Amino acid sequence: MNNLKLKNIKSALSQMLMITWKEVRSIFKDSGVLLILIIAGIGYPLLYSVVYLGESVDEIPVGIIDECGTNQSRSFARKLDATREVQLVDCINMDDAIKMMKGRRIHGFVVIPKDFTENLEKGKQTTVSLYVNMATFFIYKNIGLACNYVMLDENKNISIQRFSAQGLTEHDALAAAEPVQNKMTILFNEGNGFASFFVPGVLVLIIHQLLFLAIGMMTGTRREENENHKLSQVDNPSQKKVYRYIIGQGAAYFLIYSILGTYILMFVPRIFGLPHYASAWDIYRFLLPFLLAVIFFSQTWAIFIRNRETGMVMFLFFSIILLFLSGLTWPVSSFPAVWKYFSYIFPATFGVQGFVKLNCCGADLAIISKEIIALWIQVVVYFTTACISYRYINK
Amino acid sequence: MLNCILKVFRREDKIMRSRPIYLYGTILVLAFSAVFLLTLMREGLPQKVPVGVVDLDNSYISRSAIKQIDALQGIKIVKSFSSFKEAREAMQRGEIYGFIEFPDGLYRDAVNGLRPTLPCYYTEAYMVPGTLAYKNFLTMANVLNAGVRRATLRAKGVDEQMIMAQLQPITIDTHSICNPYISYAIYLISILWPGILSLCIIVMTVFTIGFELKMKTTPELLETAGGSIINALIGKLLPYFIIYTILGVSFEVLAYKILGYPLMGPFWVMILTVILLVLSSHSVGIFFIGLFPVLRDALSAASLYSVLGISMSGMTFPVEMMIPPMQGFAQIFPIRQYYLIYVKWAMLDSGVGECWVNILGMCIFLLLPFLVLTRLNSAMVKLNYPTK
Repeated sequence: MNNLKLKNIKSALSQMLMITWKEVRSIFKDSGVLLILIIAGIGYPLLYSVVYLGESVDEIPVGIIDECGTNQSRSFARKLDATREVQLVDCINMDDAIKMMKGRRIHGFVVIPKDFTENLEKGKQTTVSLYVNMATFFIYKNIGLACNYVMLDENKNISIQRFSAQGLTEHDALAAAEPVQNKMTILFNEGNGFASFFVPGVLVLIIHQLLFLAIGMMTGTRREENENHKLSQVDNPSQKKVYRYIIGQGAAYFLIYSILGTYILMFVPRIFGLPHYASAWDIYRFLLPFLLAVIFFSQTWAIFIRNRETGMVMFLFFSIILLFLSGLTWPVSSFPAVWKYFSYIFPATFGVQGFVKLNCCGADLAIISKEIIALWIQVVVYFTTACISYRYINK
Repeated sequence: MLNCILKVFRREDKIMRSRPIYLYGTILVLAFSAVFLLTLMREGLPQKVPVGVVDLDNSYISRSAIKQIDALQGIKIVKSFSSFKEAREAMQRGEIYGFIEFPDGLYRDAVNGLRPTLPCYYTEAYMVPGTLAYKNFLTMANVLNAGVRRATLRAKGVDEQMIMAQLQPITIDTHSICNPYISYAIYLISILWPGILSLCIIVMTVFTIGFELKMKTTPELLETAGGSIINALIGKLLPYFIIYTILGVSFEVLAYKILGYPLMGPFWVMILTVILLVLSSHSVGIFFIGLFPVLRDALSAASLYSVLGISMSGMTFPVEMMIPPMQGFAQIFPIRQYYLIYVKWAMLDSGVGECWVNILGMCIFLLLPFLVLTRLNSAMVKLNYPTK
């Protein structure tokens, strides 16, 4: 009895290994799959990192119209010019500034009103106008930050002066101007860099999409070459043992992507100075369920893919949808419920969330347990559906 | 000639009805994307971004600050924590995007003029909600300071009017040109959807021509077209052009006429631009299949290229800040030209003077097919490329 069991396991293992070996060979024989799976797997993460190499947006040209022209207004402008984000360009008047803005020589402009100093001297409130356009989010955000910072600083100084004039001691004036000191601290992505925010999530999406497209291409080709649109491979396992095929085939992609995944998630962030807080051990424990979920998920879709190219046409546009579903750009807290549940279908959602938290927020595996559990549930569910899908195809 | 084009057109119509992928790649994907983007970002600007508090002071100040936050639209306190460590962990878990720590003795120190520090933490790992948390914390801190100041100054006998004027000597009034609602949705959707449109057109153009090469039906196609490859391409792509143009124009009408997205320039410019986008994307598609007259190679290359377009448009990260080679690289995407015309003409009303370069740029894409016409023609006639 025991002997028989052992023999069964042995034959299962050897068959799976056979299937894996054949899959690896077909991957390397197929230039299209090779391009997607390996060339793009190596090149795409590099390309995306290079695109955002600028990282931060500093010294944005911003126009200044100083209608007041006093020492005080000039000091306000000087402070603005001294910020990391903004570089001031003199404009004569509104028309001039608008013209420069239309030519995209400046990205916004600040107007200091005529009565700026007068109002301040009278103890009245004065308003500085900031004109920006929202064509590029990052520019809009940084100009706003710089102006806010200068405004707060000036307000503090003016208050101190006023209170001193009232006869308060320096210490009391300071305390009156700012009774509670506000200290703003960025906790993760401290450098406020765009690449550090965006690229890590994209790296996970790249793995997700490339695996899906490559597996779709491979199954599509196989079904296309078979006259009945079945999945044929030499010594196909019997219908009951379809799991051998799923695991055998999946193992090929798993092997390749455990190497490429290491490169994408561990080397690329280090090469480009992106956040890399996670330990290698944590990344592997995350990568294991993520890769399995993506592979089984992709195998499940084989049922819809009758041609080599269908998968690509079907799923390409989803790259953008998945980026949003991952909650990287639009906060999950503002998702309508429908899209929140819809996002649970895709391994990318938990993959991006998990990796960003591990790698950029310095979370450990216990903290991202929700994502890890979700990924393992997907592994089980998609393994089952992949088996069902293959049985249906080969019926 | 017209007759031949019409024949090819009818032939293509039949092909399109034969398999669901054609319906999927044209109408379904784009309709789904529009519904998805518009419903996902229906708030325009995320509201009630979840934040936390660590209240170790539990005083008049901290309680009034918490009350003030509740009145703000932008953020919402979802949880109160007993320590910094706990709150930081919640941030790592993604439950909150920022938190305020009220240290022990805050009130006492403030009243005694010791200027205690009020630490606020926010994350830039999620840039949009993080920045919103930051902005709202600033507002909260300002109002809070005003409150404390009033209480302490009154105790010192400074008169009320003086106190009020001190609250905020300088304010900044932000005018967002052409997006008065400061809506992230408007700025994202205006480019994302056309980006997906361009991507679909490029991929479907490659697919529909490449599939004929693969099925070896191109000789028949050329025969129907009277032997002219130009007739064949026009007739074959005409149904797609019509569908995509209708979709593109509908989007512009929906955005600017129905949803009231702000527009400073004339509306017809957007119509013209979207038609140019459709045409130039078709041209790029033809270029890819002409360059690699093998469906799988052309499709892989076109996919890798077209997905990049969205990033290279410069909507999130400015192209001007990328390294120089990337700035040049960005120009080879139709969606980049669309974005520039949109910003210059629709948003800023710069007129044709500022964006003729980009219109010209769009038109240059239209010349691409001519570079590969002979190569594509010979591939269609000889069928001398691998099909597997």
